[in-house]
Amino acid sequence: MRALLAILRKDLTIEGRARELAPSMAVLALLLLTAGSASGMVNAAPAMLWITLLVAASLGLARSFHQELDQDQLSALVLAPINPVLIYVGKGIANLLVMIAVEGVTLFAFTILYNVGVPREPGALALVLLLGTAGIVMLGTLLGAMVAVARTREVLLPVLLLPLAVPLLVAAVRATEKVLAGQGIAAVSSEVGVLASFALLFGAAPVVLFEFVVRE
Amino acid sequence: METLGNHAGAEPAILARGVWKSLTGPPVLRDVSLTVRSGETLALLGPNGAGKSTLLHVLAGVMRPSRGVVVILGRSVEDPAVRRYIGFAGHRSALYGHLTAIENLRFFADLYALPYRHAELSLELFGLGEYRDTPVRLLSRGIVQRVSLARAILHDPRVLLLDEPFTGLDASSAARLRELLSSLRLRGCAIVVATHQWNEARELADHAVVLVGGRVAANEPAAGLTPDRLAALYEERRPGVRGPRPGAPVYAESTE
Repeated sequence: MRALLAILRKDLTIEGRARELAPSMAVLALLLLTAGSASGMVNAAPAMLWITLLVAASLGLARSFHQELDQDQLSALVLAPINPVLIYVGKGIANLLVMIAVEGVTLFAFTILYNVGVPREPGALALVLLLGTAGIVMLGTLLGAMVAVARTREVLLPVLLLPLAVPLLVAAVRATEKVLAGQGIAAVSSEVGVLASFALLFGAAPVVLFEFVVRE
Repeated sequence: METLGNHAGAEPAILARGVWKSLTGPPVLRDVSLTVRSGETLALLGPNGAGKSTLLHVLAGVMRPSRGVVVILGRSVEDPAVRRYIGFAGHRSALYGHLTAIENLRFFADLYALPYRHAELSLELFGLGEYRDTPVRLLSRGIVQRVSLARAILHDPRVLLLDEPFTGLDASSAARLRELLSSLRLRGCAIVVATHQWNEARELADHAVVLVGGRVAANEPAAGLTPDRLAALYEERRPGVRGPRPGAPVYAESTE
């Protein structure tokens, strides 16, 4: 637990001081939402929201593992007597927290630009957002580790992440549509199931894969 | 933990046998074998691109060999229990530029489940007190090198692998590092130092392994090293040259 908290604290401290990920992700999200709103995409508001979040995440996650490589910090992490999965989990949670902060800004802009009010069941929207974001971040963190050593990582990550995230994207858009239309949690249970499975799958896959990814 | 805990000088602290490593393209390491006992220092010499850094990464267990075995303190380097006993300072610092010197060391103390006083002691050992709260990105190269070395010995390793540790150090820091390595040796630490400098190798090490083109071109007492001898080894074992010139003495330890 101490090692996990140390990795989490380290990543958040560096992001707080360097401000490399969150500001660029938030700016990109605002630009995409504004462009969508100006192009008359107000009727497709849930789709615009999730495409924006996915694209913004792909930008930030591509850089997340890079900070472990510029001075070969990853070698020192791998050599430490900890389960390497903790590196993934710590970075994944840090990425999730950064993404949630970006999401706060994005949602604020989304409600104004797309004229969206508070849904009848805000808890259902919060659940869909949390599970959808967790799925994107867990998948993106794993892919980010895999492509971190590639010179073209900032192109490679979206190329891998966007197609793999399509099932999540479809479920998240449908669920958000229903919740914003006033339906409750019962109406989105199947979509919530897909989102939860996605988050669990890519939360658990690194237990098997991550050590191989970082050592090779 | 039996072998790790009771490991003495009888068995090699570091044993590499028939190690090959390919990254992209031709193998970087070709059938490398070496041994280092507890309390011994081995100098790893070779021209640029000889495979020294890759060999250190493989010995540390950070990279898996394509073929061959590495045994540290009687256990495979793949065994997670071994990691706690290895200190590694590579060519790059492994430090986070946006964290201060002490924050970096405390982070690694967290990973090794050590009290924070180890971080303070390591800083003191390298005379880094005045840079304690300075972000690493604002420190000079020599100071960063000292912080990096402080990180490598934070957990009192029994096997220490150092890649060009004297690069960027001023004379007094270099002297301090020599003293430290000497005291670690006396306490039974097995040390491998990759270096370009033959005189550094002679001064520090018991043995020297010379790598050329990823192969062991010589494995011999460091005291016998001279610039001429090294130049001859570099010349006769260039990549693509399969063996020594007829009649030339070569002290390679090979499993081929």
